[in-house]
Amino acid sequence: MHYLLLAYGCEADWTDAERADCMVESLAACDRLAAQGKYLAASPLLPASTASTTRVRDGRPLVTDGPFAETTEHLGGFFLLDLADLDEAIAVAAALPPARKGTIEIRPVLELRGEPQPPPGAVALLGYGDSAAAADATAAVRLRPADTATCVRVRGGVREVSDGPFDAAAAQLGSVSVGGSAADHPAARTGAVETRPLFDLTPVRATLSPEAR
Amino acid sequence: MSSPPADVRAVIDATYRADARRVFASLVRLVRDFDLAEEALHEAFAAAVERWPAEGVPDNPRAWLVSAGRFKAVDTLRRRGKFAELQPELAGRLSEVAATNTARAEAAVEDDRLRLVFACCHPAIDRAVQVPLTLREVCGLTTDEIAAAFLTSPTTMAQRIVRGKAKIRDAGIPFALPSAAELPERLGPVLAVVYLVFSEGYSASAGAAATRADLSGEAIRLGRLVVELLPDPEAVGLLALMLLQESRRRARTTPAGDIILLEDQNRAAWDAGLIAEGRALVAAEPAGPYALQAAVAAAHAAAPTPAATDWARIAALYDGLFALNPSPVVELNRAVAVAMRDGPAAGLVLVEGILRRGELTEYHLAHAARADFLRRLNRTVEARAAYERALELARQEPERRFLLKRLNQL
Repeated sequence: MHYLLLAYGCEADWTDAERADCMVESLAACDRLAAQGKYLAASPLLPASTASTTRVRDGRPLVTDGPFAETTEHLGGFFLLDLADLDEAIAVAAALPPARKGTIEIRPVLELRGEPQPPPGAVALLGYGDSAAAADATAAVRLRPADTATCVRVRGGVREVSDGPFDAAAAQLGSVSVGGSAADHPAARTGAVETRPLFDLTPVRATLSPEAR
Repeated sequence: MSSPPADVRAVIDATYRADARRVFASLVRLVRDFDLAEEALHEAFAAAVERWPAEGVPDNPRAWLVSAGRFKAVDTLRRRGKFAELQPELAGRLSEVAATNTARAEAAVEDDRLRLVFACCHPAIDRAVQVPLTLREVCGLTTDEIAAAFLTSPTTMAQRIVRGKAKIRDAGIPFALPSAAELPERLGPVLAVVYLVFSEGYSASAGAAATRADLSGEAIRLGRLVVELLPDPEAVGLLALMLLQESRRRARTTPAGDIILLEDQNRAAWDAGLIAEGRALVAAEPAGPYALQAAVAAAHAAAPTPAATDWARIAALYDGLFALNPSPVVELNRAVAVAMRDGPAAGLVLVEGILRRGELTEYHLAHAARADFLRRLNRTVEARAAYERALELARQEPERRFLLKRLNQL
């Protein structure tokens, strides 16, 4: 089964050094998953301050600065994985570094389209309120409804698993697309589309020694 | 279809009562669809009614029913035109389960039932959904029965059950026994659901009395199933605890439903069979919360009279419980045991300490315990005030009647 693991957290909780460590550790985890044939795509997102949100009403696009939801905890990155079942997804999520500071929401994937590996400099379109994905996206993941979501956190070495989405805003996340136009996104007509640039991991990878990779 | 001879019919009825949910568990594991499995289960029993009278009762009725249900499910999928797309995956599962079922027909079918328990009590399913889902799918209670027992509308219960089934299907919750590493984390919710079902059936709150006693019986059945296949000390402790509590069912209330305190119960009315079974399961050195609570219940059960109760042992067991779970409610129970061991003055110091910290100021049993200690110290005026405070906070009618009686006896 395909699962999208969404890492939510408070951006202020992370120092730059911690964020860098998190990326290195996450890259290593992705490499291990790739070796097992379980990895499809993953990327951190640039901070929520870089977000803009698009709504199309009466055929007219309205673009506002900032993320879809006015919350302190934001989507910081995602992992798209091919796993046996929810138990494996929970085990993988609990071992990822964002689970120790934030929360990882596990959402089963309804439909996967296109080549999932995002190119450097790509932009993620987060479709809220509708599970349709951008028609012109290079890659798109449509999610099952929020009541199939499961959240995983690790605190003090103990993992906590709970039913349901991370929060009300996360509940409305219906699709994640890479590439494409927010104004043409079907979710923009009934809900909203948040645009978030993906963090370019190339420099992080370059700093890793060949053995570490 | 002709009506089968009475003896075959009786065998089928008995098989249905004893084995329907086990067969269902295997079918769910095979087809991974609760509704399809339920339909296949009924078709399998219909096939038995049709064929057993002529062909004779099979050697292993359960395996026959699983096999018949499997064919019915495949038929249904074929009719729905879904078989082609499901075929490779389904065929793999069918042969896998057929192989294990043949190899260990009895054990494998029971394993499937435990797998179903773990799926229904998965931590990714809301607790409010786990309980009705387990009762419906594992125990086979109807939605109406579950709703009546929990004083909730059938619509609400039906929604919860549908939500649980959808979560298992769509989120990919496996029908698998957890690995040894995961077991401690996964067994906790299962035991919690079992004990919740038991307590709901045992508590004196309102509701249809018969259904509620059935719930306790279902919980004990589930507890036995878990222990049989997974003899973890805490699972054993929970089963012992339930058996020992259940042994006092007849003695703990008057016919009018009023509470009879442990010290006032007619110990001859305790169920000696349940006590013997429960005590045999109690560990000499209990370590976990259920095992410790079972040991407390066993200490009470072992005393022929209230005066013969080993309060030193009970207080020590509460010390152990408090070390594991330092909650004010455990501390309150410990204070009651200490009061019995060392006298009411010692208990009063402890309970007043708890109340001073402000944690249980709204909990009627804390005030009731304090009132009882004051009464035994002949501090009547203070005892009266404490009983009145407890009365203000008590919600259940039998508890209120009990407190009123004590107040009037002062």
